[in-house]
Amino acid sequence: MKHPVARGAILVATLFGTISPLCAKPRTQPVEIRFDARVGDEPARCGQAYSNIGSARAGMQFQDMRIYVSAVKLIDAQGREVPVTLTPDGQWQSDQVALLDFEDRTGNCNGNPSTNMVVRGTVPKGAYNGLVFEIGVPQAVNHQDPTLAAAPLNVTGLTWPWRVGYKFTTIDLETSGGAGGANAATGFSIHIGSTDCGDGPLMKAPSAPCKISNRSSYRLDGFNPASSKVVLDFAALLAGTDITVNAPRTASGCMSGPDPDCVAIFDRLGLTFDGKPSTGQKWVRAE
Amino acid sequence: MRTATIALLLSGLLLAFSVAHAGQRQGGALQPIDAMVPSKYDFGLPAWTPRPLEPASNPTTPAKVELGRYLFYDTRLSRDGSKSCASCHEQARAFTDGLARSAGVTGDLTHRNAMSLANVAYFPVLTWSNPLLKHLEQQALVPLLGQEPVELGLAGMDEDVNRRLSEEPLYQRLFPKAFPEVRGQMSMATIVRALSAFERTIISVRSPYDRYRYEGDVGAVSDAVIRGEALFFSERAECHHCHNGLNFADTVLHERNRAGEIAFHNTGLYNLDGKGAYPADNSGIMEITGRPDDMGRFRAPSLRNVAVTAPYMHDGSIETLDGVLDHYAAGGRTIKTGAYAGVGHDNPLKSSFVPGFTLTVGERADLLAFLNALTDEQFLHDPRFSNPWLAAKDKHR
Repeated sequence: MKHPVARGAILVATLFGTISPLCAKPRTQPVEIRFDARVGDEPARCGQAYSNIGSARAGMQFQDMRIYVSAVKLIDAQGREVPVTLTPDGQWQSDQVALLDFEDRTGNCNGNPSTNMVVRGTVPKGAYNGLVFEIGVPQAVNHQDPTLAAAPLNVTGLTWPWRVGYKFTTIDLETSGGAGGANAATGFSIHIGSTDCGDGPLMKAPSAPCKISNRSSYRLDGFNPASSKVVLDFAALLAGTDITVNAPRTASGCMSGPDPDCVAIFDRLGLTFDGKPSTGQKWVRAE
Repeated sequence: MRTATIALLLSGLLLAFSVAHAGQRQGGALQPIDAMVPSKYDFGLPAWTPRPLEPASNPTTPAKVELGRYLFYDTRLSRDGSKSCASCHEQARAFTDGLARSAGVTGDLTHRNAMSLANVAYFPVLTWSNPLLKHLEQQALVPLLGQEPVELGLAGMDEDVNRRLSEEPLYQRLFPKAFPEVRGQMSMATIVRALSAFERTIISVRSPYDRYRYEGDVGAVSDAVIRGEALFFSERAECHHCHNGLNFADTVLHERNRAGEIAFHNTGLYNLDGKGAYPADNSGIMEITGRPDDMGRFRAPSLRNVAVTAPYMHDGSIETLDGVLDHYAAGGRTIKTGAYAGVGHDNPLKSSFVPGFTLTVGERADLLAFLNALTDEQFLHDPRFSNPWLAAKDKHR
């Protein structure tokens, strides 16, 4: 609770606590879903060099790593998926979407010094042993005017103006090594967002869902919010890809497009690519 | 435990209030871009010209136009201070840059040719190939923030931009005048709104052909122009199907056509595989819609000032107007060798209005005379659209 208003509120609330019998018994409990980004066993951080990445066993450093998370649910004892009500905080979360920010602007990273590796919300009182969430910005808020959008959709570096939406996943890498050749590249980006979107009212969600939503869904059974952590493993995500090359006349890395550089990444994200369903996500695990 | 929960609930409530309050302070008075309405701004237009539409939530005002003009020419709106909007949109070239494709601040090349901004207010969709970009406030974010390619490179630079702009004495005066409702807030929201207001004023309607056609000045053009006009609008050359009306384009929006017209065409410029393929990084609106039939479909550009906007086509791949006439006369370009080899004439997705035609030498000269009569010299030199920093007494610029 860094927010001074919030800190004040705790004081006020503590005073109220003395007359708490007058208040109805709360039926919800706070929940924190903790995340971490890794490269294999190492924390994924700015300013660090990593090796043996992808099919070319390449070197890499991060320039950006930010991810929007939504549709967060916990699984209760009966196996039901119970939505987590996100707690808006004016920076990392609205009631619709949360931003995970693993970059701290050190090294070659863009962005800002602050990071966020937790999603906060409330759930009905109870015991839970599983987690379901999506990486994505919900359609209802994905196509608004980004210059007026509330946090966390107010980050210009995460807007996707050509597609009139947001990049759900923004991973920018500097790469080294590889076999060289005509397609050699020293950078690789993963920008995933909705494509093939239809028409709609100005600066609002299209009337129909985008044909390719590119929202990936993850289910982690046995996840205990009190003791577990969600691990996003970029080494696993890139394992099937040569990050030292870029297919000619395509975006740098994989930017959601019809691009051979996307095939293995989409498969490992758990997303259908060019009509071919994923064989199952391979980079998100509970720990 | 119960106390803690209540505390959390209450603090959440208070936090929500403070957040809502902060939101109001930051941008609550700026409204999202919404319905388009006829502008009340005095654009200084001839009587025959329809008024442009503008978003009801961003009315064009003299203060916004003035601010937008300074911003349009300000290189501080680029990551390294090397480029401005005007770098790719030069007034003398009808707000194009004379290049096939343009380099951004990191050296990335744009995929497509910088379009003329003349009469951009009269277009209901913007750029060569994006049916989703419907107004300037939204389109401006592509060069400002876009990363594929990087153009001005401002994504994530909000604080730097705000600092740079707030250090400019002129802006300390102009932002509050243009945006009193947010007390002169300097932000991407106000920047794109001011830029758009200026861009809406960039209107070219005073070519010799306009004076002849709309103002009855028969002496304004030569006989060759009049013969070329007849050919242009004939069912033989078929030019007018896609290049007609106020914009010399079949995409248009103004107060007398508020529903607007939007069209995209494949002109047989490429046919890489015999099935209609265009180069992979320039597949037309298919990139946005995902529809295979949209391969190679691009918006017809305005032909106003076309004589000064070379090179031509979406990728700048034809250098002269003569070359463009060759492409259309052939009913689609044939490229004999190389990665783009193919017979555009046989592109199965080609518009039915590009069957090809033959021109005599004289007819070709007439058609070119007509196209040259669309050059609006007054527009190309109008001081209202020129670089204001050159005149400003500001020592920094």
